[in-house]
Amino acid sequence: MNAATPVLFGLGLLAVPVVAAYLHRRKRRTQTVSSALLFRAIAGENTPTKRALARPRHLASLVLVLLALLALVSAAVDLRSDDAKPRDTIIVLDTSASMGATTLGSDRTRLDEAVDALQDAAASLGPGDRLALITAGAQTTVQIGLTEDHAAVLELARVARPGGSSDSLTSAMQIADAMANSDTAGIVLLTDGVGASLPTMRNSVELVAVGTAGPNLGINALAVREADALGLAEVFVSIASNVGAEREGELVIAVDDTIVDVLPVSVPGRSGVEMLQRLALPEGSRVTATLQNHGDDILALDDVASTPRAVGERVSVVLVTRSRVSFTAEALRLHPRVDLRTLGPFDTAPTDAADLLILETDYRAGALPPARAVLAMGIDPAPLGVEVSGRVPAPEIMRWSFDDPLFRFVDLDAIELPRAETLRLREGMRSLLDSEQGPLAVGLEREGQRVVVFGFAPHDSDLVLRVGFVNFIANAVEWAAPAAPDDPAAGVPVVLPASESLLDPVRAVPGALQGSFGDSPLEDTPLWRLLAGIALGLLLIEGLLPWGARAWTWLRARRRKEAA
Amino acid sequence: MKVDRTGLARFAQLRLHAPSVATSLQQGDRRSPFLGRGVEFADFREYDPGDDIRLIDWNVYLRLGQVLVRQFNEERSLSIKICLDVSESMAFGTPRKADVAAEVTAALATIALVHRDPVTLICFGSDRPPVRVKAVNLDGMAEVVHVLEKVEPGGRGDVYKQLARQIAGGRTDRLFLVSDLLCEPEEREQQLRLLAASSLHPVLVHTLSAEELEPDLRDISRVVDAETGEEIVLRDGAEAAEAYQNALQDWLVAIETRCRTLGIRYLRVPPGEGLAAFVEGELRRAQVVENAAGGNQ
Repeated sequence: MNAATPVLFGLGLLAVPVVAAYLHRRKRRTQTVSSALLFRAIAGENTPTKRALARPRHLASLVLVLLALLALVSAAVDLRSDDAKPRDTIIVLDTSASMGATTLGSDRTRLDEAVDALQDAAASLGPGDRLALITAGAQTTVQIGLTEDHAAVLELARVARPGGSSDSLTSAMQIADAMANSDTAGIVLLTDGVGASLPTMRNSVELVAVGTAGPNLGINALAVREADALGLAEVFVSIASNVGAEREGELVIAVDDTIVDVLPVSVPGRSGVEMLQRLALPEGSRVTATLQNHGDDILALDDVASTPRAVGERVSVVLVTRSRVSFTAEALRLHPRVDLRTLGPFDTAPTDAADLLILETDYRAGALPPARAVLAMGIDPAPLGVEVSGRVPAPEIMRWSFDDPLFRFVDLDAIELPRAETLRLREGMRSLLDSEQGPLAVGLEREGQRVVVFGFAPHDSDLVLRVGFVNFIANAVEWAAPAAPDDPAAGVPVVLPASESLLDPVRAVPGALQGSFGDSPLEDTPLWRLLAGIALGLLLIEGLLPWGARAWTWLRARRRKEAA
Repeated sequence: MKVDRTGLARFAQLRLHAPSVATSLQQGDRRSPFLGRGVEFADFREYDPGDDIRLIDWNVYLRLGQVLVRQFNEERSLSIKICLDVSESMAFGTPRKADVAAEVTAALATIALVHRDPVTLICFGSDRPPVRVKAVNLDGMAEVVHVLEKVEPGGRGDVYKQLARQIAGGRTDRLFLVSDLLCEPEEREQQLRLLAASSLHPVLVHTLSAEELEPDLRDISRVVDAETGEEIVLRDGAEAAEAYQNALQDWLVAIETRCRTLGIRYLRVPPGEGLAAFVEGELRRAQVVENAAGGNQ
């Protein structure tokens, strides 16, 4: 719209004398009198409406309103001419997983609704108008640049599939902002608003919101920790719900295509539940969790989650012991990944480096067997660069690093130690176990070798009689050789974040204008709004001023009475 | 309300005219219908046991052998009540009608109290309870003036009920109603009838402001009644002013005629002429006050 059109100029000139007459109008006022008794004889009409309309000042306001309306008509005409100019529109289509949600009782997804809205808008575009399409889902993709081939844009939008999180929307909007570099370009965001947030942008964004609210339960976390010392894997599953009431269902755990277990789940309303199960998993490359029989659900994508397994390779362990019946050796044999070799104090060491060397007794046949990690328990630690600072009979463990991976599922409270040696803590060492007299276990790295030294032998204490000892040995194996995915290319975990499962659509995204793509862009018409606002404001002032003056008079009278 | 205390002293030379005998219980220097102690002989009557033997006329006893006691006319004071309207409408005008009315009231009270005529002042008509104060001599004048200065016009109560409650009972030789009488005709009639019934010699002091007598109706589109909130839309032009004057004259004539019919002395306080001119002029001509030393000059 251009304010310099002849019509608007004429209207502006016409408004000048009207406004001048308004400002210099005869101001009639309301007078408070002691009694209206004597004025009844000269009273006019008691309903002032007709008279008020006949007064010059109101006439001036009405003329201004008429001028504003004429300006609006003129603006509409001008807008139509604006519409005739070719326009560029960059469509950002949210294809995150939440767009796969359906309306309850229907198979149509939010993405389908968005594509329909795009199709309706495209039908109203002129032949010179250009469209571009950017999808934001699992990844941000510029599907097609600005083109007049609207059919191609629609075809690309139709083949888009929901998936991934809404995080990619940020980069998509930045790309759209960069593409919209002309005066006639605009950005339209088609989204359900779930998890959407806009970056700071140069151009304004017109938001077209789609979707309706509905019930949904979804898996938003799945993790598998491979077999422990007892051969059981830990499967962690988190399920979120946006349903008001508690829901029950079944969680099917499968490895590849083999169902391992079916677990009952109960999810409280508008909350979530976390489960940690220890299962014996068969061989396979991928663990899948499927939520089923949990009632109405508008999003199927988050009912299934999968994660690749990280079984890990074989771990070579060398145990130096003098006992034929070693608890440590038995615990190591339980571990499914361990290849154990037992040595006596005077046996010849193997030449190939082991993953883990466990010393239960001093090795006297020469240099220590080569290993990437060493666990020494109750031996002379000097060959490992650790000094003994003293001997302690029946020490009491005051502190232990319970958050250290070595002590996962290991409880060292109330362990009875008949004797122990305290170790001197030097620079580069960390204390893992403390007594009043000093550290009983330290960790360090020397010459690329990770070393943990205990100042006591577990088999001298009652630790070996506890299940925590088996866990401790399994932790040591994991510490020495962490499990890695069998096949790094097996893919990433397919788990939707919780933000995509909580599906109540958002009708307003901060930074975006509410609109429906295809309508006239009225936000470009501030002039008629200004004129109409001025006229409306004048009328309001005309109407409210006498009321305000009356209220002020009443308040003053009341205050005077109170003072009296 | 404002009262000019300094100007009140000049009214000490006046006193309230007593057209009939005084009926107050307080002794004074006015003739009264009561017999008792006094200086002016009135009659004889037979002696009753218990009479003061000093009143026995021994000469008559010696001549006639009858025991008679002498009776005298008692001298009493005039009983004055001044009812001052303090409704919201009295707050209008320049100067305010309430201030003018307070000045008139203070002048009447001064004139009465100088001659020991007891005065009861009643401030009525507002939305607050009526204020009543009584003074029997000049010592009480300070309290009367204090009340006048303290009370402010405001609101509108049930005027008739307040007046009836305050002036009913007791003797009232002179009853003054100081008001603008700006109320509905029915209510005004009630007030005037009550005034006439409550005293043998009622006086209406009608207080109107210059703005009410000759209002400036230019640029006034509507008027709002301060007491009732009634709104009236006005016509433009000189016809409105003329119509107002006609309505005003009809209203004043109606009040004056009705007062004459009911035996009420009607006095209007002319705005802008000063209190002294009204008291020493209008009130004296209407024989409401007179020179204390005698004569009417």
